[in-house]
Amino acid sequence: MTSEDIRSTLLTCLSDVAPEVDTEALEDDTDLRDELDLDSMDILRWVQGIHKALGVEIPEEDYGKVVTLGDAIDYVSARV
Amino acid sequence: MVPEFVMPSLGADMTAGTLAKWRVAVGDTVSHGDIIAEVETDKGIIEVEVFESGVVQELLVREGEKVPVGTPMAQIGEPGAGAEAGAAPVAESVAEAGAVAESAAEAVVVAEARAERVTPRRPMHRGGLLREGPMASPAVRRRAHELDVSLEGLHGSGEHGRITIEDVQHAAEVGPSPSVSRDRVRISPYARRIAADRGVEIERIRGTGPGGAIRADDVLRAEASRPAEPVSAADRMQRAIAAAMTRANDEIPHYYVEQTIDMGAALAWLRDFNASASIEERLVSGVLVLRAVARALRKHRSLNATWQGVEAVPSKEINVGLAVSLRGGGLVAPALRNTDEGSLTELMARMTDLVARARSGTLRSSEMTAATITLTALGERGVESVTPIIFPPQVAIVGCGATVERPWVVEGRVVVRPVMRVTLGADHRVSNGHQGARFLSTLESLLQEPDKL
Amino acid sequence: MTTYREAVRTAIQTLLREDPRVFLMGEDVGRYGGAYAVSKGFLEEFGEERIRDTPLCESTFVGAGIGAAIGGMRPIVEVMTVNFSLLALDQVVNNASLMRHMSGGQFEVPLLVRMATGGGKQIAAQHSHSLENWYAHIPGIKVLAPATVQDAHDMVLAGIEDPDPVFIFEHQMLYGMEGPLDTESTPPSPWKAAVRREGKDVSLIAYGGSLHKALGAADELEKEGIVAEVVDLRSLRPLDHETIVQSVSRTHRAVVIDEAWKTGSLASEISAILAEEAFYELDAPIERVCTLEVPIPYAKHLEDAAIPQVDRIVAAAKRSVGGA
Repeated sequence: MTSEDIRSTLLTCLSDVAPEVDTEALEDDTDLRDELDLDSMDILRWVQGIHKALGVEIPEEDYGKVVTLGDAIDYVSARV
Repeated sequence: MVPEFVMPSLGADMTAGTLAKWRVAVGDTVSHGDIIAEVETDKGIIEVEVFESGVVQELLVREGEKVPVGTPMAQIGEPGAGAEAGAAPVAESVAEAGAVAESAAEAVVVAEARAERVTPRRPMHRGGLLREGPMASPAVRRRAHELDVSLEGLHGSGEHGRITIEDVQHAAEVGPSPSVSRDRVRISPYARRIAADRGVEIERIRGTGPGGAIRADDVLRAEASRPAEPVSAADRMQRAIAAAMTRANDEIPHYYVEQTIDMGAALAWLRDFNASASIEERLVSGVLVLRAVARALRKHRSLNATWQGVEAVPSKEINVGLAVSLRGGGLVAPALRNTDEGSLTELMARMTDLVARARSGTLRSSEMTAATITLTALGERGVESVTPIIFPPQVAIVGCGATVERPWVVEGRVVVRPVMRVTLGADHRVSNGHQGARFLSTLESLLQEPDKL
Repeated sequence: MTTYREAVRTAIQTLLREDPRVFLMGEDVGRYGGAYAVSKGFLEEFGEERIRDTPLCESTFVGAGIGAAIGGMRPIVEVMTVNFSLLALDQVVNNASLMRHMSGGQFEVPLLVRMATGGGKQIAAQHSHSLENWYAHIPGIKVLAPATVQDAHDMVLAGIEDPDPVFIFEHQMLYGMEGPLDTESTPPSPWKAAVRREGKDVSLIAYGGSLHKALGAADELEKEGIVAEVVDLRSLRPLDHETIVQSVSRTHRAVVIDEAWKTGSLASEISAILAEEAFYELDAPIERVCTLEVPIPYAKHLEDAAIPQVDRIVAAAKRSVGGA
């Protein structure tokens, strides 16, 4: 699975949680909580979506490692 | 009489709604609680449930049409009854007139009987009669006033959805309707009808008739002086919020009590739970607070009530409304029914679903009106305390700030603990600071034993 | 132009000439020419068989009219005034109105009874009351109140044509009134009310002699910018609900004018109909302008004060519209 595939899957999961976000325009270093106004429940739903799509489980203590889209792609790529 | 499904009142300030979509067609069988339509209100698209069981006989309102609250939108009949059932009484009365003419024994005066039969016994134009908001006679309004029953949103079992005395009495027995009741307004029947048609709030009209009665001209003047309709849905929602909050600020004497609660035990329990739970069953801390608020209300019922014009009526269910901000702007506070019951996992699932639907604009009508108290949590962005305004007709609201690490004294030693500041805003007409303080104390205790939540 | 009296007379004359079953009967209708001079000259033209002076006994001659009608005749019975007609109420209520019902539809009573009603002529209490509503209460008969010259003529013809007992109430102040009369065109149904003047602010609902006071009030109101609609009930039984309700649905205010006493009057009935059928159209309480609850006085100023007048109608309309 390429980094681009992972990116695309993460964005699809993000769209499910926050359909109003323009995922095309999202930069890799955007802070998802601050810039996209996601709260802890949105993050949890996103993490759940990633788990379902890719089988990668992000434990709570690692939430700090998936603050931006770029972080999340790196984190998932290392475990998929 | 064929029961009618009418445009429901989905909030205290709703006067009209736009039928966005029918979810049923003529001939479909529906039962109590089914979602049969989507209605667009100032608060977004709401899924609306039906309270009749039967077969959809006729859809009276087109998609896209905006109609006042109380307007019949569909006729729901007995299974097997045809669509023409509604017309039957007329046909019968004509046939009856014929029978009178033919039956010698019954013959009175034929021609006169006919002349009287064809004169309509009800107002001629349907619209005239049916467009009234809650349709109720003066006697029913008076009884409702005596019993402090709100007619808004009350289901009428009479002809054309007319509210009967029995409906009012029944409503008084089963408890308050979630929507607000207002003091009786002195207004002519015609003025009341056109105010509903035009979406003019009668509470804001100054009456110039005898005894300050509102007349049709007063309604028209009020309409003319009203600011132009805002265009966007977000603007409309903001205006609805503005109206509700202004009213709350004008009418409700708020008092506030605040307590900082040690969240150490709750967060530790949550960490352990989430570490061992499957990812699908993970909880967020918000659900613990939500449940603790609901459980605390079991002991402090005076905060779980609705204001009914002259006094508060305690609500039987504990339905915490969750303030959900919409990312495009706007705010809704749909209810989680019986928030104090069921497992935390289940509550988490319901909360996730509710928030998702609030954001996608697919809330149900009952969720819009059922809340008995509201919880607003703004800690996600770091604020430490919230001083919230009550959402009428509720009589209390709980605001939570962020959980932050602070120096905390435990058994004489300063330690670092995660703490959260909780503020209770409550209606001083209903409860007082002492009761509010006891509620927060109960809440604090509950959060120290998260495993029992 | 024709007088109201002449219009009634023309209609009866036409019937007498064209239909041998028609005859006229009542106190002083022959030699004297009728208490209100409607039948002057009839005795000479039609003879004693068809123009019959009767004893002063209403129960007898109204009863005789009922019998003649059942027997196939088309009697026109003139009763001097509604006050006197009470002597014949037994015949009306227990015979005329019941015959079709009691005979199982075998007998009909094509009787026409005319009588004068109302006050204003200083002929005192026993000759001036308005008791049309007593008759309008009875199922089995029909009640008409012509207020115009044209209706005075047409309703006599319609009354004779009808298979059931018809009672026509002629307001005594109207006999001298002049107006156009068309005897050629097909008349409108007598059982429908008529909008005599269109308006938008308030409906003045009246009949018979009160119609002209309502029209006078509408003129006064117009000077003050209030455009009143005037409805002439015409038929008091059956009542035309539709026209009344439609009018009030346009104006949202109603003033009912009735020369009867207010309690239990037709004005009460109209008010009830509006409350039942036009409740959500009403923007003001219904106003009733009726005769004060006293016997009609003889003295002119007291008689005028007792019965509805233009100023009282104007005041009621203004209360209703909200300008007073």
